[in-house]
Amino acid sequence: MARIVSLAALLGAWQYLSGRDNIYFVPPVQDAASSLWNEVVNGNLLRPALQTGALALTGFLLALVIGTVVGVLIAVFRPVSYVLEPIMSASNATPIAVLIPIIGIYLGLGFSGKVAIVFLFCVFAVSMNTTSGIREIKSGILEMTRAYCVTGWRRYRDVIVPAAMPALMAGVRISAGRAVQGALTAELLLAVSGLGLYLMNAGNRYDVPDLVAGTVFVSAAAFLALHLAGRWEGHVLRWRTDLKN
Amino acid sequence: MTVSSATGGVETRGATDSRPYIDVRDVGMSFASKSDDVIIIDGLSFTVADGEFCSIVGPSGCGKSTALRIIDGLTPPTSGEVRVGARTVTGPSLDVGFVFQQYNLLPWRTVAGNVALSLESIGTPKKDRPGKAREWLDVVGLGHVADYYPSQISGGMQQRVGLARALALEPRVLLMDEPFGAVDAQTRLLMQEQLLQIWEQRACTVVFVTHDIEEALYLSDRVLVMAAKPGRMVADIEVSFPRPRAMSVRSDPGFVRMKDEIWDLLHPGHGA
Amino acid sequence: MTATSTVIAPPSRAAGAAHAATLARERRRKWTYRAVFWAALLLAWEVAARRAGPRFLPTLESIAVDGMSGFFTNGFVVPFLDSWLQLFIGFAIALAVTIPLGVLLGWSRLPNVVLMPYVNGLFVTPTAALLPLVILFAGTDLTFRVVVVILFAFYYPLVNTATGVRQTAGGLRDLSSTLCMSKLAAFRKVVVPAATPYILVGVRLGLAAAVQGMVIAELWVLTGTGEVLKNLAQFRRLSEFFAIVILIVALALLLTGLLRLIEIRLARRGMVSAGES
Ligand SMILES: Nc1ncnc2c1ncn2[C@@H]1O[C@H](COP(=O)(O)OP(=O)(O)OP(=O)(O)O)[C@@H](O)[C@H]1O
Ligand SMILES: [Mg+2]
Repeated sequence: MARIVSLAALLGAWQYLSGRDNIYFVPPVQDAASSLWNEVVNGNLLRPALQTGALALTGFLLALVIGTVVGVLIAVFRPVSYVLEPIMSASNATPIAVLIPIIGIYLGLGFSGKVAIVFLFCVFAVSMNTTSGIREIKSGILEMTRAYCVTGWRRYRDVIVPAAMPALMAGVRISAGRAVQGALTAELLLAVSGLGLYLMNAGNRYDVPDLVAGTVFVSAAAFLALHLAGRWEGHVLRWRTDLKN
Repeated sequence: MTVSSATGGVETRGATDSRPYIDVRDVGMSFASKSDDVIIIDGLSFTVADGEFCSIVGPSGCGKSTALRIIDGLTPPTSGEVRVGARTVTGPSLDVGFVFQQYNLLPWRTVAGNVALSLESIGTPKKDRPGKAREWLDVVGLGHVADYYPSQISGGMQQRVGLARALALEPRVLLMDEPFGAVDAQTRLLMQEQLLQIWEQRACTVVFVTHDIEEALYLSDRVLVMAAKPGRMVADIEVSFPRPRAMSVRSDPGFVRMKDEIWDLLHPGHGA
Repeated sequence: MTATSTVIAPPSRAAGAAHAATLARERRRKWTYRAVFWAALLLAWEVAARRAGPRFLPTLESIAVDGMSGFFTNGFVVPFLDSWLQLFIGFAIALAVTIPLGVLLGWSRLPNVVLMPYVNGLFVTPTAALLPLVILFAGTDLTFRVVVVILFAFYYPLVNTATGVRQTAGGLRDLSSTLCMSKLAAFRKVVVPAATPYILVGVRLGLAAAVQGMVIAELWVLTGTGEVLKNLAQFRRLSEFFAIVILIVALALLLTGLLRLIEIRLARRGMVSAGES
């Protein structure tokens, strides 16, 4: 109820602002809405969205595979953790975007350069979550594993991997958001394409309804990506009855 | 019925009637703390005969779980050694089933899946596993929750799944760490009956840790009493009520007297 | 540490001294591994740089000497300081708004129900996608950079503050009412200390995001350090480029490290340490 009131208030304020002459950057609500509808229906938004989606998904999957492997290595081999852990903890505070100006030199301004940015946005979250997932497996479970002689390949398949899965899936969820972030950043700052191109064009034309429509669309797409990641997590962790509500 | 040592002297029962199957020899255990070592178990020696049902009682923190872990080979002792059958224990073996105090079920597997873990370890063919798992669950009275996840059943039920998992190994030795600690009083009596039946049918050797003196006396051929700081054996009590034992043995005057004696051993200075 | 070694390995009877020695040996091993690996990495960089040439990869020496001196003599200091000044303005505004708002969101239910959907919605939206829109109403000057920094930085301080206050508010509010404290005193003596560790974590995560925001904003409108980086890359003056990148990252690490240090200090003084959310 309170939410409906607040949403109405927001739309009302938006509408009021759009009516003021000196504020050209707020389009009337109905203009933005019809623009969103038209651009989706005629494919102007969906076509670039596919391009952006492919970029985000490629970088995300790459980060998932490599991040998981690195995370496992750090958790299992002490020398690897000694050597790589400083990088992992520094990654949190490192602005990946500083690399954007030179990525083109090494990987070009095409797909691979942009994938590299998405990858860097995601990979650390995946590997740090994997590591802590494995490290924080309850010692009782590991003891049981030994008592019942679950060894070798079975130990990983039946115990270590499923036990680390909640943390790993948390990494997946965080990365899904970062992948969309990274894709848009790359498409606006490295080489304009996809939804980044759409937004930039709308901005350059001062076509405010289209720009707002595009931004809302990107937001919805990001929400969808997160939602899908959440669904996947819920499916993988369906034994976690505490997550259901 | 004899009380071989009631006053605190350590006395190891000689292997007169049958050969020892579990042989704990002068086992010591200490953990490193910040400044120096803490001795958890000191000079623990006892044997358990083949097919014997032996209980360990003792105050909380006296090292019962640690002793059981050492017998299973989960933790190497700091000194001394353990022999089970013909082998010197260096690590866990599928001959020995362990029931954990904290259950340690795999939360991502169903109840039946947890029992199947044992079947996978002993190499039961894949197609036989569901049926077998179901059989062992029926033994502990949990056939009806076979497809539940552990988080969906009560603590007492989880503990019984842990028991079914150990039984599914069909082991020569069962090490049980307070296996009925979380089970409600009524179910507990039923589980005790059930356990005795299994033990009589399968002729396995049992080491059973419990806080419940009555349970220990009712189930066991022998009760070992431990004291804390450092963990050590203070009494080795033979319980020779005839088997099969009826529930009513608990009100037998001899039974009650033994209960009081063990109580006195566990709480020196407090009259029972 | 391997996954198996979580199981307690008992040391020998030789007492705690031996244990301490083991720890010291492990620490030495750790730093040996690090030294060797990092040296090898730098060596590999150096070899690669010499083979690739300065227009592709600058040598370590040229980064340290040419790059760093170039930073001071070629007039990059002013835009650099300018960027960080904007960052701090934006970050200070973000904190001034988000921390009180976070307290409000954590303390009472209604604002939480009403506002959280928007907060989460804004968080989910890729911030980079907002740049073309922001530029329309904020221009390309100071306001733009400050707004972008705020957009990047607001989420963690806000949500962590709310979480910290909410976690303590429930239980400790009862406690304070049984002790007959006034609401204000309860807030000052109970909620603030209990929520501080959460807030600090939020500030640290927010700061890291703010630095990212600063870089992205400046690369988009080409001012400050962002413009400098873009030009250096374009003209392949890579030793200067890497020198500046190193300075930015070092400063970011230094600042977040300081915050981390405060967190540890507070945790030592008996305050519960909060996990990262
Ligand atoms: N990893 C460890 N490091 C240090 N001390 C330990 C460790 N594990 C157990 N201990 C100590 O060893 C002692 C014995 O523990 P144990 O779990 O064997 O007791 P217990 O007799 O099973 O107790 P309870 O009846 O409560 O289960 C305790 O005092 C405990 O603090
Ligand atoms: Mg115990």
